[in-house]
Amino acid sequence: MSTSEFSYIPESPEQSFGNNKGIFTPTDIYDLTRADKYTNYGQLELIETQTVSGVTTVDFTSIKEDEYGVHLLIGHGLNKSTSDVVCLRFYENGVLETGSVYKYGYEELQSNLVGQQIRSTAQTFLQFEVANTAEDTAGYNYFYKLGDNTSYSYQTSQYINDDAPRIKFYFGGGSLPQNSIVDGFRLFTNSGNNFNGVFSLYGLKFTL
Amino acid sequence: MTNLQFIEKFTIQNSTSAFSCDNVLTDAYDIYCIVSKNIKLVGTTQTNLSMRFLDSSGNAITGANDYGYAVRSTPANTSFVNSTDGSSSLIQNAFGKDDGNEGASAVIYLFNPANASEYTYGVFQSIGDNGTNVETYKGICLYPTQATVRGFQVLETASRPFDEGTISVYGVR
Repeated sequence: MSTSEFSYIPESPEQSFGNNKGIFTPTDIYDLTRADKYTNYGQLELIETQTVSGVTTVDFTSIKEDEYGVHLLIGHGLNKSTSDVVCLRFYENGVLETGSVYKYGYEELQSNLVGQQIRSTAQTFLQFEVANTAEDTAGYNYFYKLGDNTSYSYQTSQYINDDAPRIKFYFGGGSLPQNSIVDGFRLFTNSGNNFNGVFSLYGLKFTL
Repeated sequence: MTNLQFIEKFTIQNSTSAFSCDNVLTDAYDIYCIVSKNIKLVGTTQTNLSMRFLDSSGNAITGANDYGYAVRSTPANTSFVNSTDGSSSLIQNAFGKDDGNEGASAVIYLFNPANASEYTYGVFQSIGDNGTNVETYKGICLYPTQATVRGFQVLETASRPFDEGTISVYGVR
């Protein structure tokens, strides 16, 4: 960084997101961006996209939990070789949590049948989606406080599933009720059937 | 393509029963996204975390019939229930629920808040703790008045204040 901070002569005004002053060199922009002080709109930041085919697990292990307080996971084109459910487990400091510690409540609505309440207070996983079919599912999960070891980790979700001749819609959420740092998660099929899909993980900037 | 544009982040640091986020909703955007995280109660009794809007002068809108809402709660430990009210003084559970240590979180979208010729609508999904288990809320809300809304408030009405949490406000392009 130059002596005249951020190219402003003779004094350097306070710089902040949404309130930049001066003419900036590429180095200034780089430094300000790293300091979260450069106005650069687009606060939904892609962390990673994984496109998978014929797999039983997908791991996200570089989720930048120390940069974002809220994450968004979007999945589409999700289908399975045989009827199955795609579930989710968290990594705590690199160790996959497989105990009966997860809690959730998800509601199912159907286009032509009565839906159901799906809930548990002692499960070995959360569910990314609850559609126990082979057909297409698309939707999203929000994750809260994954990198905070003073609070529980939360998930909210909603998605839609084509289960011909009906359409199913799901919403709800769950928790890993432990004060721990979650630094990754695994998607997997509950019965071990292969699945395909595109999964994109985003961080919401300014949520720490 | 949808783009979130950061406006302001608020941090709750002191014990309070109502925390206002003022001067964040303008005519610069038609749609706003509010992301709250880790709102924690001072005590340990489950308490609803609700929402009110701030009018064009920054005052909380508190009339007994000012809001309508419909919320479906999906707890892990008991049957799911609806909470509905067409003439309420607040929007219940928009920011979830907490009982001390877990920290409630939410994503809320508001539509047309700064447009004085439109009603203000909202949709939200929030999560928190009901005393023994996780509970998620999916809801819709309405402020059926053609008036400018320039901010909002997270509040509780059971004399059980909260003292921690962050709220980030984004415009949606």
